[in-house]
Amino acid sequence: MTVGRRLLIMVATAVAILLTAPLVGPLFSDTDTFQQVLITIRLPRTIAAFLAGATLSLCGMIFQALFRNDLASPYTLGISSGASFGAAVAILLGITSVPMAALLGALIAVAVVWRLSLIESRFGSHTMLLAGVATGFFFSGLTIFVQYLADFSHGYRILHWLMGSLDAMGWPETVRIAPFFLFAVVAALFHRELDILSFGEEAAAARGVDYSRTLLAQFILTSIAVAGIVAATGPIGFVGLIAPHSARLLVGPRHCILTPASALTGGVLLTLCDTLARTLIAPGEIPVGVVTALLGGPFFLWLLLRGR
Amino acid sequence: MKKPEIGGIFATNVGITRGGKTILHGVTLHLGYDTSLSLIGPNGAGKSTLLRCMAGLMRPTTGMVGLGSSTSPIDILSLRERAGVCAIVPQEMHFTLPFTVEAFLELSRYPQCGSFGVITRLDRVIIETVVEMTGIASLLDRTVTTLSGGEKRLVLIAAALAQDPHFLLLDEPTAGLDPRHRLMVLDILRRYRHRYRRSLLMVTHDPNDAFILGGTIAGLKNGTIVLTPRPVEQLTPDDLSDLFETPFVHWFAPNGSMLLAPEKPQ
Repeated sequence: MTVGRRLLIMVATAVAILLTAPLVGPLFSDTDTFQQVLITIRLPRTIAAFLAGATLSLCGMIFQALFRNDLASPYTLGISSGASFGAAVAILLGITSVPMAALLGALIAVAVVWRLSLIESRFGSHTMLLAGVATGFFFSGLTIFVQYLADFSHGYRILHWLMGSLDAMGWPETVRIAPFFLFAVVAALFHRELDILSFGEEAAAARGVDYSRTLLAQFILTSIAVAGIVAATGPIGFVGLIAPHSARLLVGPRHCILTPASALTGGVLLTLCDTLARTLIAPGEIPVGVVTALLGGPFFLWLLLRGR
Repeated sequence: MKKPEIGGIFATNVGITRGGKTILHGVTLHLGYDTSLSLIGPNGAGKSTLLRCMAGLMRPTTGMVGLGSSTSPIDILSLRERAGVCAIVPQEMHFTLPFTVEAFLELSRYPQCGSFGVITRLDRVIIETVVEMTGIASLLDRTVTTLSGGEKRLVLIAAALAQDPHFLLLDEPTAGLDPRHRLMVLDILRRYRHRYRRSLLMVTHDPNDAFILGGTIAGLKNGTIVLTPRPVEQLTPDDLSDLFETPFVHWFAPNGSMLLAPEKPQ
């Protein structure tokens, strides 16, 4: 099967899932209520899941190329830890706008990583990776401390936020995360540079790609994208790690094709997982992060072993 | 593929100090238009460092590298413009993603491609030419992560040639190759130079490589040029004994070409 046809199938799958996902769930006998639930709750939530999944997947794909590391994910640089800390503090202090606090926390983490990376004279991926991991641990520590300080109900709310969820995504929230998806798309437009950067710093320079400048531009764009998504949904794990790898197994490593494939895979994966999360034990909800891990892990292993 | 003449790459008093250690002590070396220069010397002499400086990939601590003339610094070109003039074949390249060889060659056309990176018919012709020249047609659909050492070296050379450079700089292109691949590489380089009149700078440990390639030879030791550039035929075993601090012997092959080897300890 050609790569183009595979991509076409992925687009068709994505459209089909986006159209059917809102319909899945408890039915209501009353048509008016059903319509209302469909339009004001399930539709925006489905779109939000797709956008969030696509953004996380794109950012994971970019980080994996930049750091030449299969284990890189959108959360590698500690952005989600910063967001978690911001959210935890907001919940502890009773501040109503938790997403804004989370966004602020994420951006502080981004700024810290950036500042730490500049300590070395050249802006390099190795320093940035170390700075990111260190920043992540630091903010995780702070978050645990905040949880320790919190009473039972606050502690539960913090825990709930940390698991990541799409249950708060109505239309206004969905509209608010859309621009962050665009940041990730703009970053992924530099697809040839991403291809070439994966050869390593010197080989990229020998082909005329300035490693430091590209890394900086990509870092700023993707960090803002991840910060925006995490602030709105909490740190939903696994999608940003697994989806780009799955896409790579399906269409190969070239970023001009991998970019749309990653976005589609990530979007579809999170939409599916969220649909399961809200329906499996309805009216209760399973944290979507649990579903992504339980479903994404075996799916990825199946893809990996399929050709053997 | 005839290119306008560029007067060469001029390293003038190039000094490199890294982490308190001086790697190059004011080296002056000129790679002219349509020449081939072999740079030999022991491990740690600074050969690779000098090569990277002359490719514009490393900024010298003192002195300067000129392109075209010794007074016009190579830095005035952007990295991308530089990549269109100099191509470098590294000793090793570690691939993390399984690109096909063909995709790798296409990406090596990056310096010449327009801003949207569309592979034009000219790009195709150039890629086909270098594939033919390096004999890697059967490898095009393989992924770069599965190549053997010899195949990988040929692909790296093809990728550098695909950049269509004025100056081709090679870092030990024959190191670690079996005799067949070694001769293959040297033959490709010799034919390339004669066919397209481009300049080669080859770093190597083996003086016999320089004999096969022809042109001039220079020796680098402890960051200084100890063997000034001279036609390779004028190289004597004594020069090499001094350079490598190991006695060398020479003999002549039946076809009259000189072979050099370190003397076996008694």
